[in-house]
Amino acid sequence: MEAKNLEFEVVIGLEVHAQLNTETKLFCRCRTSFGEQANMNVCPVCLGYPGALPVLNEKALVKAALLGLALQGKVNEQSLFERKNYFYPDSPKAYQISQLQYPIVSAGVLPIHLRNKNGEDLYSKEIQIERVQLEEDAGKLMHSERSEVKQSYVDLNRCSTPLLEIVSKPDMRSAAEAVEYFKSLRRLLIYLDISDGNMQDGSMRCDVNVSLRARGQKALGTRTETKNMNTFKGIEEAIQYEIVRQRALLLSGEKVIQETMLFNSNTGKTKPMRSKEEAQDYRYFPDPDLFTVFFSKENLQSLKEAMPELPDAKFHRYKQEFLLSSYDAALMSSSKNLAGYFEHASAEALALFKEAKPAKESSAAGESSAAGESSPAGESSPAGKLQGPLLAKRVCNLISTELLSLLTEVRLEQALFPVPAEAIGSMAAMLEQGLISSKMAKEIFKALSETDKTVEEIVLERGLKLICDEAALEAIVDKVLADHAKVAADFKSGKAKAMGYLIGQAMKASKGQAEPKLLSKIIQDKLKS
Amino acid sequence: MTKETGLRPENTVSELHRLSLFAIVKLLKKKELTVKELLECYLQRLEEDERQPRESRINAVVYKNKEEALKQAANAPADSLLGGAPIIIKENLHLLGYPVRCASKILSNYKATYSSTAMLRLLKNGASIFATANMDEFAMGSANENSMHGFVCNPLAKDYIPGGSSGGPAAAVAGYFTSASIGSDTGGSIRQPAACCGVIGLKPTYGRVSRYGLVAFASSFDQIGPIARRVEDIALLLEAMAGHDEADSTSAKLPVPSYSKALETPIKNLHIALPKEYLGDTVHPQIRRAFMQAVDFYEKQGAKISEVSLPNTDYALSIYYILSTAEASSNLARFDGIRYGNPSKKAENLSDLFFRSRSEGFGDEVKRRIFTGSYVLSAGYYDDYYMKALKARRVVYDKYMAILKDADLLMMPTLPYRVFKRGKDHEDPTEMYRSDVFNVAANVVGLPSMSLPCAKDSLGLPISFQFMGRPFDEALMLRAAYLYQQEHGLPVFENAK
Ligand SMILES: [Zn+2]
Repeated sequence: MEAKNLEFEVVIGLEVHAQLNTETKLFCRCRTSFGEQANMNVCPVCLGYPGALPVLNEKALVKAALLGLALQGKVNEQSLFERKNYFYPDSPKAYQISQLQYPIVSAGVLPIHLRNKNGEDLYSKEIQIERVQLEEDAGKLMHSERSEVKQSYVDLNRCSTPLLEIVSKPDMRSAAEAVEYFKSLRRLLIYLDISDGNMQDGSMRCDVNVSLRARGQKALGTRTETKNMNTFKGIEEAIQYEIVRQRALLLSGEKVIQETMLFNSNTGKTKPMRSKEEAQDYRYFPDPDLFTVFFSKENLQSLKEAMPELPDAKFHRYKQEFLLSSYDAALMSSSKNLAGYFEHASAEALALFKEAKPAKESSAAGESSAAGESSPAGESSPAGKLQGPLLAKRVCNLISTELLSLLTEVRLEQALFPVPAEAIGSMAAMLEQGLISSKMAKEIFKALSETDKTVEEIVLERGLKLICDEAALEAIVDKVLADHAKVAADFKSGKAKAMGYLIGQAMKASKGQAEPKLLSKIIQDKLKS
Repeated sequence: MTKETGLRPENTVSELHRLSLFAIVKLLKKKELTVKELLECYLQRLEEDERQPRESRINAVVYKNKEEALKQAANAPADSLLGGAPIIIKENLHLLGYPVRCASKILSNYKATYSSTAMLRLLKNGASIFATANMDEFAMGSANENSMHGFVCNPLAKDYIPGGSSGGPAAAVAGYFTSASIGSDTGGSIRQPAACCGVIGLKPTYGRVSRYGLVAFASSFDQIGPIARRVEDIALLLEAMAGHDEADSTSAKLPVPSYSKALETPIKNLHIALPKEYLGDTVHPQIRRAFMQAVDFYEKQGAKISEVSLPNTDYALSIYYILSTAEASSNLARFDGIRYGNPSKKAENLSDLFFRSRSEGFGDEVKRRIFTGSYVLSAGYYDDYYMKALKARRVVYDKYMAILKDADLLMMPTLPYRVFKRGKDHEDPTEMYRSDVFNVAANVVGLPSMSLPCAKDSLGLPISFQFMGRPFDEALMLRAAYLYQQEHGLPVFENAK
């Protein structure tokens, strides 16, 4: 997949722009909502009327600081907004309020984990973050679709909505790393409720800087910057194309020109933008309408205390606490909503299991859980602690085999789950208690997703419950043995195979509801007696 | 010297225009005067002026709105501070529905679609705003000669400048077209024209009055302030406008004292410092003499007078011109010919459109400052100019604050020169810039400053002095000025040449 770069090392840095999900804009009180009629979410401030003045939305600042903390970065007590001056119709003030010399966050790190297609760990590395800055977005230009109409229109709804620009150091060495970095960052932003991470709507996009240098060389090569990428595939393809293109240039003794590129997703190629912008001098200077921004140590401390558990921490905890595999742990922690769902269901399963346990003490531990079988243990014994992992694993299996196939990305982002987490928990507990079979679980899940009924209702209604009552099973077995006396005799005379047949018949007689372990134990006991 | 009394002149309606704001408020409240008759008096005077030939037309006012003013007065809350009293505002202040042309061609069609905080506060406190005043284009100038509306004459002597950039507001007050007006001061733009026209002007501490709705020239220097003929009028208007505004991040979260009530509070142990750099050879002898007489007055009133040194005075001017033009170049960039002004018909593409529309829309002085500002911010020059000026600003501020630790007020002439004749500044704009030296310091350091007339020169033109005070202590300046007005009296200029 990667271009072969034996003689060159690929150096990649990303500038990610993420729209903050604050309710109001960065410097005025207009709403940030999407999809309104053009130029409706506007006021004198974001329209850039003369005399109107910006007032910082503190909530945006807090979100930026939160990201800084999550990136283990340096959240600066003092930061400064500056004006980036340029003329363009989408910028009504003719400058953008941004941060340059003193961003809210300087320095940070984002660990990324490269895995193969099966989810097995390949390697991990840390990508250094150079800065996180807060800035306002520009408006949108719309050009007439009819070529004879030489008119453009400006929609300023988006103007002055808050953006975070997250600039990495050139620490990535392959397209895969870059994509993984982008994904990890996106996950983090969603986890922290900083951004909706919606890439189609452009709330998250990135500029990709790519350069090549001879292996072993310290100095960076000349880079190109591919602008406005908002798909994982696009990022991957654009980088691959730039690598091939730059490599060909360098091999033929030509030079890479430092320029801004645009990626065409139809051709899979990058093309230089008109280089006019390159020479532009933005004449940055501190915005005199906004004083230095102070973010106190106390504020930072309270943010720290309120910091939610981050995806990486969850991943490790799932592995340690629930003994999930890397694959499962990564899957369950891949989204904040899914992780919440998983944790909720697991907790529910454990609670139900414990509740039911005293009555069930004597019954079989379960269908086929290896750990459970070797230690059918009480809660207080060390082995009892394994009950959590066992239930979590069942929850995880139910999620990955049943739930995820019904869940689109969008529904996941909106936490629109087809089946409540409690129900998954309840099913996991029943599985673990041997009350239902996997096949029954499938059926229950389907019924849950199609109706509003609870697990109990479905179980009752459809009789989806394993028969664990020994007397009832003995009655079934007695009848089967009587009906198939010859086969029973065969077994007794040494035909081990006959046992399977008898179990099958007994299961059939129970309409598949016999608890399989108990059933085979009864048959064995009866035949051996 | 005569005093304007608080009473309605006995004789005729024709004397109504002489009433001070304070007197007007009193009479309105006692129902001895109506806003309508007062407005008609002012408007009649304005119409008279409009009939004058250009050379003798004062041309202070560029827009009138009697109906709206009457409505505002009718809506004035009962027991409001100003009781419906009519005033005039500079043409760079937003009041819903009023043109905000800033005397610039590029804003010739621009009307306010929102109101500035200061104007809303004035209305809430019972002011009625019946006219807007001429000014230098985008408040850049010291003679009110850079205006799409044409020059303004000094009402005291029509071939002299009224000062700038609030030449219109100052001339309107001096010409008795209103009792008071609102101007803006970026580098002396209230105090210098007040001094030229023989009236009083106050620039509040930076952050005292909200800038929301004032078309920005240089955001870290601009302040809105009052111009009037009487100290108590200045106090009333400042009280009506001042205070924290959530819409202006640079406005101070501090309580506003009742300036008008504090005026008569005696000042004990007043310590006035005289910076010797402001009394050097550049100061005209007549001005120096008049100034020292004013100093003597305070000494006789028991004030301690001391001489201090402010060796950074010269830097203040450089700091001012570097930082204010830098900010202006960015503040004025939004006027691109698309949203404001007329898009040039000759334009071939987008950047050509910006270029041509701006070239056609801005006057020379504004262009000069945009060039200067863009230059000091450009790559390679930023550190040498902008950054250095920013650092120097801090140094100068510290120096002033050190002196104001001991001294309560700084006192200096408002202008080192006598009032200029019109048409003089066209030859060398830097000469005009240099004359700002006495005024820009207050804006560079953000301190409050107030100018009041104290004498006439040999031509009968005004000589003024100014105070600078501690941050947010406008009250003390007002009390000191009030003392002068009451015990010494202010010169009256109706017989000026
Ligand atoms: Zn807005």
